[in-house]
Amino acid sequence: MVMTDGYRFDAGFVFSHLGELGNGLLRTLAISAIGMAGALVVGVSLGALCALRVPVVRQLTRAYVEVFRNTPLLVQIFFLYFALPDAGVKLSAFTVGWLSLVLWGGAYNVENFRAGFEAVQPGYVEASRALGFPVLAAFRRVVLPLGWRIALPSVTNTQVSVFKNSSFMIAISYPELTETAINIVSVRFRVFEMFIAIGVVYLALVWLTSMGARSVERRFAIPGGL
Amino acid sequence: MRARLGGLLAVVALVAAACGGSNGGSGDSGGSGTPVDVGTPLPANVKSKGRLAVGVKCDYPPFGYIDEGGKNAGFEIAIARKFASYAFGKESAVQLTCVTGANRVPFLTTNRIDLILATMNYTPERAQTIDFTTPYFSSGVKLLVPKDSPVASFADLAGKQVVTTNGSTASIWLSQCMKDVKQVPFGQTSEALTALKHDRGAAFAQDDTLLVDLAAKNTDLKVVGDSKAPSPWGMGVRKGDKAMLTWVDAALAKMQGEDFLWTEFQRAVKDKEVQAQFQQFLPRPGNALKYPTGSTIKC
Repeated sequence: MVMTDGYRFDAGFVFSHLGELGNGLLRTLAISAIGMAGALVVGVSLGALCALRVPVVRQLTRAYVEVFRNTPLLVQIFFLYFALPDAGVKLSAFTVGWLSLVLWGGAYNVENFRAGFEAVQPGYVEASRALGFPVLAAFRRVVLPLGWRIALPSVTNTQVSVFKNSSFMIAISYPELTETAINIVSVRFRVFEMFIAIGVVYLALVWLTSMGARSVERRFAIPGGL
Repeated sequence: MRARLGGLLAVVALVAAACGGSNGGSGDSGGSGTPVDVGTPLPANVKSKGRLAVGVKCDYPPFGYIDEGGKNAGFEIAIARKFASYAFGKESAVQLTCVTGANRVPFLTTNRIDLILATMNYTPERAQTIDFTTPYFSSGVKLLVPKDSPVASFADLAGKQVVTTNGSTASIWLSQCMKDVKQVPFGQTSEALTALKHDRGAAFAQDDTLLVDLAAKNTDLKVVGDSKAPSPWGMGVRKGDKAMLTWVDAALAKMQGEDFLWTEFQRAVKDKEVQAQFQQFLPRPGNALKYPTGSTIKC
């Protein structure tokens, strides 16, 4: 095990830590799943309220988006974990983990969905209004079904980022996959094997996510385009 | 206020030491201009330069730091100046370079400094790149806890969450010796400290030297526990530089014989209680330190 010269690759090293890494992966999946789902809900709902130009809500949403898009995610995580307790709000690392992902991904998704909804040709909305649809029904039956299809590629981007950004939780010592791997590395110094292993895991999961998104895109594509 | 006074006293002490003779004692320690024979010749390359280049810490009080007057100060700085007085007869014949944990070994291997004297503990990995002198100090792992904490020893941590920093000796020791402790490891000391203050762990396990300083600055915290995972500190010389290693070891032995290290430690650390905690970890007449054999941590 003691090395006097060049680095010797030791694939068995990763296998000897599979248990810990598996637990880390489960935590990564847990906060990512909540984070992605939450970011989607926040994005669709606030994006819709923005596209519908609901007063006050629209300005507040704008402010939320600007704050979370224009500050580093790491700063947001630090704020939630290290600064809030001074204001009497102590969140666990797990809560900060999924909440920061929801807030960060939500801000991007608001913009993704707003852009998608606003890209729906005004003629469709005017036509539906002329046919007697109330504003909300016109949105729900015309703008939403068309808009989410337009927004899908950029939403996929954001969702993938939310998943990968779960690795930022190393900053608050939440033992997800990356934190687990770096902890093992800091004691055992097998840098190469460990980072290749977790890199492959992230790559595979993101690739699957992207594949899934693309098949959704194809499945719901409107023949002849929008 | 107390820290400022302490700093002032340290400055006064240094000035007094630099002026020479005033701390008396063995007589050969001042700045009289006469080199002291330590029993082995000073390496030729150092002798020809006329000064000793030493890499020291500038951010690690009380070992090596910059005092309020902007000068290097601390326990290790005093040792560096003592080397200069042995080598050249004057304590000022030393060139101090600020180094960090990450760059101190490269500084030595690229000949920018002749000696690392910068809170470096012995590891077998480091010993493959540089040569270690005999140890001159030894730190251990202790616990930092809130003043009102019921935790008084390592045994009290069983089943609890403990704040650590990634890859630290404390973290390694806990993961090997107290498997029922759940660690919450952070990248930086400041983050770990904040986490402790927010009660995210029952204690912050770390090197006692660092904790003593943190406790001095944070009066709501205290250091507890008997010292675990002792790790002796050594100075570093270039691999294979026998002449330098021999000279530094001889000079250190002389300092040990004069009880210089204990005297200077007391000068750097004012707190009597802290002095008493570390007394056994300083080489004194009749108390030599040894490096552990093998690389495994003993529980």
